[in-house]
Amino acid sequence: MEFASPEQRRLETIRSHIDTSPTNDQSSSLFLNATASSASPFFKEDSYSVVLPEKLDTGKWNVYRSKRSPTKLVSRFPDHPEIGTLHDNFVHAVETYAENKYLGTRVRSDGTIGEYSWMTYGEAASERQAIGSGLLFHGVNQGDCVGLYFINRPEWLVVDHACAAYSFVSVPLYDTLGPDAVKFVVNHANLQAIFCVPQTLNILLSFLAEIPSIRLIVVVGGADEHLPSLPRGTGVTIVSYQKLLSQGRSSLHPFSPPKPEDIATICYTSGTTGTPKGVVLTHGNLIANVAGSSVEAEFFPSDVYISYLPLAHIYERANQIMGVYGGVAVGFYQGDVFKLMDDFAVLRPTIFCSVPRLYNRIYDGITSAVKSSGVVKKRLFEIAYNSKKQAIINGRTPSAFWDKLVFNKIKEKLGGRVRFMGSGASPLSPDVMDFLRICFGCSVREGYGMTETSCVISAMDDGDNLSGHVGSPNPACEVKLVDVPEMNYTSDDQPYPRGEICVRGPIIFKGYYKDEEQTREILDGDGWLHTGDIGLWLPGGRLKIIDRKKNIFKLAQGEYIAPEKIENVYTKCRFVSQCFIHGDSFNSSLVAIVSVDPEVMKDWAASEGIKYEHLGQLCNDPRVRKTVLAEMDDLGREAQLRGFEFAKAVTLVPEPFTLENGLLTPTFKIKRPQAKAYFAEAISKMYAEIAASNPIPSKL
Amino acid sequence: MPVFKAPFNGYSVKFSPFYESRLAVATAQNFGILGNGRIHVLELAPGAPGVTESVSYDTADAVYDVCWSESHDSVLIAAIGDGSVKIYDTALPPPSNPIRSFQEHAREVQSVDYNPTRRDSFLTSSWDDTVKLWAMDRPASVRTFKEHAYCVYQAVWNPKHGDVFASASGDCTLRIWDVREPGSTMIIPAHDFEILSCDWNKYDDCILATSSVDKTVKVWDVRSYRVPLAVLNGHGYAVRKVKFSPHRRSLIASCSYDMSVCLWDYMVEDALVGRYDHHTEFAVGIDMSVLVEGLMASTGWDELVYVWQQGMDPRAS
Repeated sequence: MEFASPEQRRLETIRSHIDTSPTNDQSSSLFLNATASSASPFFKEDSYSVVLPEKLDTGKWNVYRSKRSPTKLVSRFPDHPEIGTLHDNFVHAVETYAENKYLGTRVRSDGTIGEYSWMTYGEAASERQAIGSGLLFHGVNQGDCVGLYFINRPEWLVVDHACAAYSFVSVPLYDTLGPDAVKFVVNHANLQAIFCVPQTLNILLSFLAEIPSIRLIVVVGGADEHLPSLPRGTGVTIVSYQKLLSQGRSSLHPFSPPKPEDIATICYTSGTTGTPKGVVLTHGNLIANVAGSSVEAEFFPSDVYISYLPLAHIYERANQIMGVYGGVAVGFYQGDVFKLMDDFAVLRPTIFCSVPRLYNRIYDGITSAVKSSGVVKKRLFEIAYNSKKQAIINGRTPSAFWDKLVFNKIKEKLGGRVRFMGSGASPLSPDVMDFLRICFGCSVREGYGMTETSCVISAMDDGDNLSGHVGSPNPACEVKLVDVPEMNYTSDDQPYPRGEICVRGPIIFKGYYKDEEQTREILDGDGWLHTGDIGLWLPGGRLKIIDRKKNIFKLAQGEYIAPEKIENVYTKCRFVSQCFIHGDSFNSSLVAIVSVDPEVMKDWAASEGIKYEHLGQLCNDPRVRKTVLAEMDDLGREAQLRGFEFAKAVTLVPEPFTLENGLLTPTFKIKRPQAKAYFAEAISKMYAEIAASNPIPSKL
Repeated sequence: MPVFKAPFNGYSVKFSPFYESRLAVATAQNFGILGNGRIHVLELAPGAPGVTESVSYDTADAVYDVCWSESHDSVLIAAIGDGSVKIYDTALPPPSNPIRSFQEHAREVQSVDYNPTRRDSFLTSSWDDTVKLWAMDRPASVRTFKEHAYCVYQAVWNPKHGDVFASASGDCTLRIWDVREPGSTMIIPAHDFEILSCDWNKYDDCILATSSVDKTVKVWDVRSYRVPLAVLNGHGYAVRKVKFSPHRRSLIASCSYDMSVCLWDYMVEDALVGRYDHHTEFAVGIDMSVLVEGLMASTGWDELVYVWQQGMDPRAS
């Protein structure tokens, strides 16, 4: 064998000592029965999904299901079909794992940070009975809505379990919500009681008179003597969590378990415009979703989960339900994302579910640490990275040698035990996914879902090493793509069928709370939920998200952008005759392509004494670009655009967008996909400029 | 028991044949993949748990093996990753060292062994697929043995016959040579996977042990080499070095990528008589003292050198 360098030869020689050893694992002699699978009409080789006809009479085969449950959608855990509600799920966990660690926090009662201290499943169970009984004691009735308005900590889950056990409806509120949104949600859901922390209590008290439905405010982490006393006649009681516990303990009530079809929670989503929408989810919805996911990804009592994503988000909520089912120990972060790495080192979790934003930070941190580690270490890293990547691509088991040499030290940064990484909420770039798989040597899987589907619609299957897609349907739902002719997406598209992603099954929500109109817009008569996302089917029945149906997209940090609104602002600028705003979920900022007004440009250049031969040259002049962008910024501020709605770079083009050059519709709207392709080079150049002017942080 | 922490990853450890308290250690930076090397000469403090370094020598590339001269108590020879073989005299001041350097091997030199009976020559084996014979008084190698088809990981002199040696190679063969003959005298396809190490029995000049990537140690009799005398199973990964005891006829020590050091009695049915899990990285170097019965030394990628008495815990101090 010939190698490019001595170090590669040495690495390969030693690696072969370790990897070519005969295996003791006898399982390799077991092969799947190929005949059985090819005999079934459902299965295709190397497929993750099966395709079925939507209606027997029309015979169009366009509905995809997971191959793990092709004939019946999963609605209960296969091993425990008796679990129909969140209450059943928790009771099952308490009976099975009573003595196991469940909820852990490192924040002590005096606010200092230490080792994790744990509450067992059994202890959490008796605490949730006390909390539920305490709520009854204060006159909260079955079916009433109870708000949770604080960040992740053990009490959050105890209260949530209390709601399930006594048939209250839990309504989570992001701790970051402003007063207006909180006021809206409290009134819209007619909340009777709300749990908060001292910080969020002050927000509530600032508009107490405007939320008349509230009868009880419970302060978590506050001492009774420090709680404000309210004037008589307000009808509102403020108690500490501790006091509610003792009140409940002294008047324990038996559970009033919900039925699977009862409402478990109302999750308010921010939406792009207007007021929050309340997504109504039943116990059956949530159990179905988690049961479906559990077919492909199992959690075990030996697992340790780190909870830091907001519990008000369906992604974290669903993970918690899965954790309870598996008897997992859940450790909470100390409340500060910047100290998350410290929490990792102490907790040493085995399961880590996060969002691309954090994975991107980890990626940036490691790559820049490698760059600054010196020539030798950098070279070692590169060799190890490429070798392991090749092994994974070629379907071989990568050498343990590379892990020992390079990657175990990186893995230690997350505590060293992570075996499963999940990513959701926005797309993870394939580069970063490959990087995580190689550096952390664990299963890294991306999922796709939304609150309206109780979380997961599709997720990558175990052992699927292709990145850049969101996997096959959750066994608890079926998925089809519906043609969107106005955007040129059809089922006949080559090479892959495309269309709007529609979902049906036991995971679909009951509707938006008190909003039938919006419910009808998203949920059709046949029970299909229209997601508004455009997808395509990759070979093997794996879904890839490629666009949004409405001209709305998400930036990398998760903010929604309605580009037309921003374009309308910028076209007010004197230099701008037409404007195309571009952004996507791999970048955290917007860029603009501006077709300039030639007359204004000429006059301005003359007044500034700038010489030029033709308009194109003027457009490329950095001074001109800077001036135009500065004026655009002024207009943006005037129109009160939010920070992420500002274009961070601009490219000026002399020619207008027209019907003839294919950039406009007959109604003079910008054809976005075409414009994106047409200006692809300019767009990537602008992002490169932005990246160059904002060096990435060098530390995690 | 004495422990020494080296700045680099350990590759080999050898007891001096002249002083019971002296050892030489071969080490390499970055696991011997890339970077410098260093040779340490260590002294065990009598009756105390300490180890002191009497001298160390830096090299420009990894040091994979080291051996003591059998004729001069202060001389040692090092096998270097850049293909060179260097001779050091610890009696001379550091600037005079190395006293010799031979640049003949085209690739990494993996082992060096001093002739214990003639005491005037030594062998080196290399990843250039050759074994070379050297004499202390010659300016270049005396002879090159080129038959193996892949890296030669170790070449060891027979303890009785000063002209006979064995070589272990990644081509899955063990070869026996007599330097008076033009080619190898015996080829034993000893394992189905790479052979990483071999050693002669000190009491029976016809018996050898080999260790391999196949995780086993095998014991062979050259008079009937069709089947091994014993196959020793117990390591979880490739066995990097194997060594016969100088004091007990049937005792063998081995160390492995599974991070353990094992002791075997190949004559008894339950051959595994001891296992030491003191290393936290690949254990790649092992030796047994000729002068003190039962005294063992090991080193590994955890940068630690342990010296301990058989049957004791290497970590206990």
